[in-house]
Amino acid sequence: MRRISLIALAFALVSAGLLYAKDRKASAMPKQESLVAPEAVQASVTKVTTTIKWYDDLEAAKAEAKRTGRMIFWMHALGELTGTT
Amino acid sequence: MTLSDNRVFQALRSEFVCGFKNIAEESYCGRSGDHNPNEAAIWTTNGAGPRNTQLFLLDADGTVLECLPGFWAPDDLLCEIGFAKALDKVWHDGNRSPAQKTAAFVSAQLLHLKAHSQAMMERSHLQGFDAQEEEKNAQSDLFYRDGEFKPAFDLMNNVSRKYPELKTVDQLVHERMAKRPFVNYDQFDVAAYVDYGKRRYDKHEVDRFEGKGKFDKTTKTK
Repeated sequence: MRRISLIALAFALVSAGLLYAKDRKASAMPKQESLVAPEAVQASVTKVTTTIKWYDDLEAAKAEAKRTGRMIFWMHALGELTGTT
Repeated sequence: MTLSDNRVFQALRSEFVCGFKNIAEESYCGRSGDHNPNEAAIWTTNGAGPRNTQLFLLDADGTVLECLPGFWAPDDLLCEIGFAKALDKVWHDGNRSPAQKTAAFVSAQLLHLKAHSQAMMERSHLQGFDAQEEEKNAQSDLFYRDGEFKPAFDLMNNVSRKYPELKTVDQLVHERMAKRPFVNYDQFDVAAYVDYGKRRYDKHEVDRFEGKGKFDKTTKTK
């Protein structure tokens, strides 16, 4: 019985993830290895770095997440945020 | 360019507190050619450049629900975000014991990899130089072992079938996460988690752009 409920839970978790993605309107996926023009890259960087507030202190991010009831998206990257798109 | 995709962007803005860490000084950090934000970029495969970037989906207390190494396409990142959100509910479920939560985490990780779409798997094949590196290591967990899930490669496109003895990265990340149930970020062994493929590579985006002018003008995201 316990095993069945575990399987049911796991299935529900998987379904939730798939539905989350499906609920968002699909956009055409670009082909792998296709290049993106520098202007588009720059626009993307500007959008991501100026509209979203990025914490560089995880403890501060955790405090804000607890305060607002949100999860944390924590990104590691080689280099500065301005090089991230 | 995934983060600027409108669907990902809206999800990050409305549902997450976002943070960033420059890992240039970390021991596990890889090396690649330099890329500046005013230069051409290239769409690549899920999991490409695992040592150069990692995307963590954390609970507010720092518990790691999912870690995606390298680049991830928007559709696939959204799929994993939804999965992490569901795992977060388990983490906060007061009716489950720690052991039950761990069991649910492991089961869900191993089940989720089987539910990935064919398109996601096709976007998750190893890059050639990474596959060649892994093939040198017979102990690599990228090789399929008896009893492990193996997708129907004959249904996949030619690129994905090129190394049929090696798992796709979308499978690898869930198998590795299943061995790290509800670990706090401070204890998460990033070096071991992202250990696959070559440590140094360069896809020469700038040269390709300047040399041939061949790029997708309609594409807004990487």
